[in-house]
Amino acid sequence: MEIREKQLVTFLTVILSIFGLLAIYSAFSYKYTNALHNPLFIKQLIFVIIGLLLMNIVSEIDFKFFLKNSLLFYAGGIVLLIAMLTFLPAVKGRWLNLGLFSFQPSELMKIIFIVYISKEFAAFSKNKRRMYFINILSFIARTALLTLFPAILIFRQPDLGTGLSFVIVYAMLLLFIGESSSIFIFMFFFALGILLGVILRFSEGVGSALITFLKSSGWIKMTALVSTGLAFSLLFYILARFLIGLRIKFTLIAALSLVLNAGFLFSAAAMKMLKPYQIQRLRTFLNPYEDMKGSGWHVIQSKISIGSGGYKGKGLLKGTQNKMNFLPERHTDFIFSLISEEFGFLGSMAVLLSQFLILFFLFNTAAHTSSATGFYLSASVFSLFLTHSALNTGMNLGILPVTGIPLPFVSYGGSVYLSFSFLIGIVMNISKTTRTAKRVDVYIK
Amino acid sequence: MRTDDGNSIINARPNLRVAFFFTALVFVIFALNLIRMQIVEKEKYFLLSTRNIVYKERIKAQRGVIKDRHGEVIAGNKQSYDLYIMPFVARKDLLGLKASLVKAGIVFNTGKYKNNRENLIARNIGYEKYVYIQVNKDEFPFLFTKEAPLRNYPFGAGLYYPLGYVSLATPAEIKENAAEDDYTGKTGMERTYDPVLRGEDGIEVLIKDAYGTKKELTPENVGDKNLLALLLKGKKEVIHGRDMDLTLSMKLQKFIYDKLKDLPACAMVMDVSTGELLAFISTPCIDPNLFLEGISDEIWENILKDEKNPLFNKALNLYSPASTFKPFTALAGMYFGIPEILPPCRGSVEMHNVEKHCWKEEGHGTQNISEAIRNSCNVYFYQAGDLVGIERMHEFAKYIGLTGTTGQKDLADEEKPVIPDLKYKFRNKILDGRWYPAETLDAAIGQGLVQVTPVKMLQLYAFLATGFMPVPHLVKADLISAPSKPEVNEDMLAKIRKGLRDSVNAGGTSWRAHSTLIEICGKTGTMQTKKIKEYFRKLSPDQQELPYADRDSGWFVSFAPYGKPEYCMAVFVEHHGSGGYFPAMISKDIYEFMKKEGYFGD
Repeated sequence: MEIREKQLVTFLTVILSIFGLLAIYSAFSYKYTNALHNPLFIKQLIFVIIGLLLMNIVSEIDFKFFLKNSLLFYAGGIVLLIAMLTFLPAVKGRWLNLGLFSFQPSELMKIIFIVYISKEFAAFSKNKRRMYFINILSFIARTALLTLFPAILIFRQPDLGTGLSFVIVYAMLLLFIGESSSIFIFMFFFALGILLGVILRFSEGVGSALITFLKSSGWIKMTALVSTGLAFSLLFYILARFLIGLRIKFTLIAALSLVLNAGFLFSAAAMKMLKPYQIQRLRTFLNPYEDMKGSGWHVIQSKISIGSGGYKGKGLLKGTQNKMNFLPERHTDFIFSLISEEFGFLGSMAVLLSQFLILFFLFNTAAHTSSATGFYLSASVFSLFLTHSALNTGMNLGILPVTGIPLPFVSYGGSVYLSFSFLIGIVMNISKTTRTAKRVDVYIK
Repeated sequence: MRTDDGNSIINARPNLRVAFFFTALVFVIFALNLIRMQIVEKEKYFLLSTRNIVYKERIKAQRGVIKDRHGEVIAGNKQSYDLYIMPFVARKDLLGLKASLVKAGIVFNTGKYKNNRENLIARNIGYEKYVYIQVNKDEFPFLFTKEAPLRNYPFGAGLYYPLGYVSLATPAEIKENAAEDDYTGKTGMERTYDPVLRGEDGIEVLIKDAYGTKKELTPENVGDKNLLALLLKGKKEVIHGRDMDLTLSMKLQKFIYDKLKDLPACAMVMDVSTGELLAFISTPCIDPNLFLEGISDEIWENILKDEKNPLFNKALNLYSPASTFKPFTALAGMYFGIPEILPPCRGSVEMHNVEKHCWKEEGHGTQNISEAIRNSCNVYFYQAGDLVGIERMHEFAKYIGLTGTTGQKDLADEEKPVIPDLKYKFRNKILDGRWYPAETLDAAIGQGLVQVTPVKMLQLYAFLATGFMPVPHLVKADLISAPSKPEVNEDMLAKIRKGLRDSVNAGGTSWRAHSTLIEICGKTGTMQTKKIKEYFRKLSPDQQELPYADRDSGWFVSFAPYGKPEYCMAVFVEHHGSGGYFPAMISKDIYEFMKKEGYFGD
């Protein structure tokens, strides 16, 4: 990594941080006219400074250093998450109060998870017998468990957004295995099953029937899904074989159906674990105008804030949606809307572009690294950053569901800021130490 | 290929590039959305954000106060208290709230309450309940009261005429220009002058936050100059209703009303030179305060059933003027130059094959005009009328201005007098449409088809008294024209005035109006409801034994004092005996009251 690239990423981070700080100041200006009297502003400022320092320090440490003992860290992180759910005095389930400040163990878990899972993927990529189907399957099963374990623990906090980001990062890493094409077919069918489960849950006609079905015992559910899967496979096989004359293996079709049903069951089971307000958030996504004062309120007010900002924006401290309290969660989840209202199209595009350039840097590092671990590390940081910025911006724009995911480097929150600083720092180091001149994308046996 | 650290590179990178391609696509979609929302649909969202914070509060215009000629308030405003429920909380715990309100004895609307504004739930709750709500504020956390001006008529029924009343706006009025909680004038002057009295409501613009907390529209609160200017455009200054000064004198109005209130009657006192009405009464009346909160069905039923017709303004209604019309016939006769001495009255006369009677069986003998008026001799006026003819009578009425209404806005709903001409029956398709000479005889003594409103009779007598035709009016500012002066020989008027004076003071038919304090000139009239009663009248002069509808109605129209007339007066009492009794006596009382109270100069 050339020194210019590191400086550029730091610069982009600073831009995002400044927008964030201004928005946090503005969000509480009705209470504190002086920014220096605003405790949230001061806290965030301190975290920005610490975060930038951390990013620089980490970028100077060889990334392989973090790979040692990553399993131990993973185990420690899991213990901490379990402790959060059981005996630790957690604030709102998410924060651990450490006296001077509180932090989110789930954010620490993000770093641990990404380092550990990247190591697993890199190790697999070096496995000579990785092409064997059974090996792939066992690898996926093992890593899926490694992902779902912390994800579910975080879901239970409850923190839908962060938990979701683990799953999405993992799903994207699967895409980067880049091995047998059949694995993607299976993945596709699994994802299709998940999607079907979600859609059916919220569709008017099938939804209630599905809920009654979900209330039945596990064995009934299993039998029902397996039998319908097999029945449909058989029907499809007969049609394909004897009517169209397609040469296709029954076992493949059956396997695909079962994967589809597994995905369906997974999403149904996952939704059963969701809190009522999280279900409401998903419902809101499908129909944000359901109740003017209900959960649709967030989306409507967020859109009004963005649109009313116009080209130049209403000016700092002049956003009416902000000042008159119409924009909810405006220093955290909906901070993008506040920036859009007060700084207009120029401001919102500056934030959007900065994020995109950081993503490009992450992608570019992955594309140029000669190290497999480096590749998976930067690819997973890329996925995590993408998950956060896309879900948050999409939610603010009202085109994605309200998930409560913060905007990296912009939203108020020290733990998130530090975890992203740390991860970007790692990628900076990867870029610096393992960059090759050319893009390496040739498959070598 | 082996890389420097000896790892084998897998073929994942094409997938990574696909992933980045989709990432770029997602960001392009975001950017396009930003362009759509912040540039293309900017106005729409800006409007929505402005609508979020705008709170428009209506400032009700005070209804104009109506005062009498001495400045006493006769229709004012009093403080009333309306009960509102706050926005947003309207849906919460409505049942519990209803229960405690019922306990407090407050009746309230059970309409649909809106979440985005304050909802009126009870109007005019009264001071006691207002205090109860204020004291028990903890029990009603979502309620608040607002003060609102409410019409108040301190004299109650005594001024139902000419004021009329106000009540809540009807759906038709709301559609036109009134707000739901506006009171609009429904009858009388309140209706005629409604646009002036009501004024125009103002709009106060405030800004509110998401919790409904309101703030003043100051530069600090709004923060943006352009937005402030935009919001200020919605503001509207309140224009309060105009106050009105009437010509009425409450002292006199009350005095007359107290005498008449239970009778179906009307009475007016007018300044002869200006036309200012000092008293204007039509009875029976309804207390206009009853209409403010909605009149109860029971009372309304009784009003509709009442045979005394409280809903008619009798002063503006048509009646046969009877003998009070005779001076007009006399003046018309002199004007057209018919002989003053006519064949003597022998108690009856046969004309046009009809035998016509005088009220005095033995007859009045030979009379001049003044004597005929004093005696109210029918036979004399039959002959005079016959000589003038119906066509010329109509012509003369038109000449002095008796055929039209006063045209005054403040006497709305006034009916047009009927002084028929030859074609009148034809035009109005009455019977065969032909005018028979015998009908002229009835017209000459103010019976038959002749019909005049009491207010026009008042005007006629003002003309007889002064030679000027003043326009009766209640609002000085709205007088349409100065008194007109039809050219009539002063000597003729003097003869009529003498007859009218003698009628009261020299043993004429109006002798009951004779006063020792003031020289009154006047003429009685008795409107016969049924011909058959010529016979009954002799038997029972006070007529109290007859069925109500069969009783005579009496007039007394007069002016005073003789020689230098200042006021004229018309009293008409329906179905209460002849004009010579009650109307004449009450007129005397009124004049004497006015004399004592110093209404008359020197």
